Amino acid sequence: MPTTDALPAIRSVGLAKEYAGGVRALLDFNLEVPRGEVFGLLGQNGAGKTTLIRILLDMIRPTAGQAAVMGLDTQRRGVEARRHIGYLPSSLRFPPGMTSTDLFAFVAGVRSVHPDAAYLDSLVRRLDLNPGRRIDTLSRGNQQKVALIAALMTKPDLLILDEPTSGLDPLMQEVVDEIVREVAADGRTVFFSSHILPEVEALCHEVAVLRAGALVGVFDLAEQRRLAPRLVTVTFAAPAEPDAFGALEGVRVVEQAGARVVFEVTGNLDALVKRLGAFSVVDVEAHEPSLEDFFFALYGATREAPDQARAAAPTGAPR
Amino acid sequence: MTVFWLSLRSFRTQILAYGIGLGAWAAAVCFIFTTLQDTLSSIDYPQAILDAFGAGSTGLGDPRGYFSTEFFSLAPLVVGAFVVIASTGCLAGEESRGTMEMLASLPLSRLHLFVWKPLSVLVATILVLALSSAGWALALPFVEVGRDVTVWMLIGATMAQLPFLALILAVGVLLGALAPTRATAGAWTAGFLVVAYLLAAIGAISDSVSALKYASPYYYADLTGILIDGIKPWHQVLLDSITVGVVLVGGVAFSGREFGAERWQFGALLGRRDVRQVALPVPEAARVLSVEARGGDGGRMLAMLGLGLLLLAGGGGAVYGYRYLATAPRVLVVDGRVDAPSAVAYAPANGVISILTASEGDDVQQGAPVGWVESSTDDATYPIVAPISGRVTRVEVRVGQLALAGTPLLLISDLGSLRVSLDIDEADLRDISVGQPVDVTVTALGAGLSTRIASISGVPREPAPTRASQTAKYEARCTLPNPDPRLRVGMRLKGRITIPRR
Repeated sequence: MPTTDALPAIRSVGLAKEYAGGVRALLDFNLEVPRGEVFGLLGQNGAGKTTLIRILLDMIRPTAGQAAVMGLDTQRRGVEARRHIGYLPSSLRFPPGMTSTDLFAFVAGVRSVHPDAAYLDSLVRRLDLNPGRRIDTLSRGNQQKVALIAALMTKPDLLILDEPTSGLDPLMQEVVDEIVREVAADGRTVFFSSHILPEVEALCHEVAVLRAGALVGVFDLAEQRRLAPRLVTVTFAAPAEPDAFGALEGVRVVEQAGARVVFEVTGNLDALVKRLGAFSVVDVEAHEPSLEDFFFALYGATREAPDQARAAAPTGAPR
Repeated sequence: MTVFWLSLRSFRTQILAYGIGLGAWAAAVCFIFTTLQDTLSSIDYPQAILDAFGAGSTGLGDPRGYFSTEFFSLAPLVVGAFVVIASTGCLAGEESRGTMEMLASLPLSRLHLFVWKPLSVLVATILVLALSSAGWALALPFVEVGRDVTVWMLIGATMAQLPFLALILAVGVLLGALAPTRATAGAWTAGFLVVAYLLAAIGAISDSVSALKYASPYYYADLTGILIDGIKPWHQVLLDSITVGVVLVGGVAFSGREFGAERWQFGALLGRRDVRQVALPVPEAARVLSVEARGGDGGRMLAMLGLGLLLLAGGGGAVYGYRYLATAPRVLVVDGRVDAPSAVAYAPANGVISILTASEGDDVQQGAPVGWVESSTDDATYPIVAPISGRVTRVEVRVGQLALAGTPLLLISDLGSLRVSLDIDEADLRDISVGQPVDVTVTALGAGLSTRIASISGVPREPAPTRASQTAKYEARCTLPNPDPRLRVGMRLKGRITIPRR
């Protein structure tokens, strides 16, 4: 084997895809996904997430540019590239009449590996799956588990997950998150696309944001979280004059209702806390910074429909 | 191989349903033959209809015409329906069902899928044909169909559908690689099947449009009237060549196909040449692409393509073997019996049998008297003369009986020169000639012996046929130079005459 260890898990150069009828799904797309990270791909429906993934798997061919997985060109050395990839499709379809056990044996056979039986067993147990049942009789959530195990079982170097937790109940979502973190801790790469912001926020180290086929940017989440404005709710013993805080740098009063004031703080809290020392404070509540506003701003003017936005971000208040 | 087995497994219900259905149809066609035969041969069908369904030269009363029409003129359409469904389902169907997503994400090359999935359809088709062949094997032994149609001929003709079906398979796979969806590919492939069938049928009906049939692959399959006319090898070669060509074009199309694009993909035929590669600076290229390019993959893919083509050709070759059976020299099996030259001694005059010197089992010499008749008209006594030398095998009269002149009295058979007498059907008469070798098995002795046809009678054996369904039988005689001493006159036997195919 040629030494490809130094090469990124995914790299695309000048990648473009134009569908028949002039629909441009990807435009001059340059991306580098380092190894050992959980890397998110965030974008609205139609932003080009699925197009990118399908190019990586050589199901469709780019109009221009190249992509490589583990340093292997996805077109010219697609079979070798796919040997490194475990893929969870967003639409779940299975050959009829198969049990999960059959499917796992088939996948192992095609990949010509002896699967780590203990690992497979632990996946089945943790995801609470009955592998003897026919897949087509399972619920959507359980089918999702089958597909996830099929992608994970051979311990691929690159795990591509398309909407991995859709259809799973919250408990199982947590198990999946845990497994994803383990994969990354193992030095392997997870590349997952989603339009569910909290999921991306919870798991990813880095996030690439797509809009209309173009890469808006790649963001380090820890850094963004540090930079993001956070809300601090302070309850005073007596109604306070808001003017007392207006002059502070990076602090803005968002809401005031009697003795309760909500501040938006950009940067660290030091200035605000020192100023609060001059008042009689009953309660201080600091909220985890949400990147939602940040990402929605990146999406641009084309907001999702309100109902989709609610579904996508259940904890966020609709604007 | 796992892709192959997974795919073959998915066809198991269809294989059983089509195979058993066709087998039951074959058996039913066998069982109703004796019931229908008289009716079918007495109805005057228009010649064009008989031609179109392959019974033009024999009519429906003949088993060859009957089976050609009742089964082989329609079966390719039925099995063809299976092939259309399976061939468009094996690749395009995976895509339309969404299961291609899983297969394509695995480390399988396009060529791997393109070889093994259609191959599983080919094997499924062979299994369907094999199951329907079982219908012949189970039913034919119980039915009197005459000697012209054997189980092996029917099985051979059944398997001979394979090259035509392989072409349908290839067309289905090609269209599956080009069409937007499985449904579109299926519709066009079914259209191809029906048009091919109709062109050949219409071309056979009318002389004015007979050139049409040359445009139809179904014509080159030689399935119309297969039991009568057999198969032309160059037709087979032509059909297989077209199939291989279509498969190759299909392979190119599939290697360039974009999954899930849902539009006609004629661009796929151009392969990946329409991809504009970005000219990367050298260090960039080295980072994106791997350190070295390996040629092993191409070699393995070529080897697999070769293997796939070899298997396809092998399928054709197997059929070729079966076709050989159908065109091989025909063995005519006929009934017959042990016979001896015999002659009757007649009463020489009107009168009373006064003396019989010979009784049954006595050997007599030609010209010697075997008895005397005392004439009732002129007081003279006349000798009853043995017409030939031989053994007295039957005595019709007793001493003292009255006989008219010319009454047969004794039968004398020349047992020293036993011979074989065979019943030849009038339809087979044109294939029989003096001097042809015959293998004879005497039923009672189980012994086989070889001889040649010495003479063929010019008039039919009694009774002459009176109905259209009956046939006249002519006697063919063969000499037995050194007869087995256990042979007796009248012993039944089977004669096997090898006839070269016309």
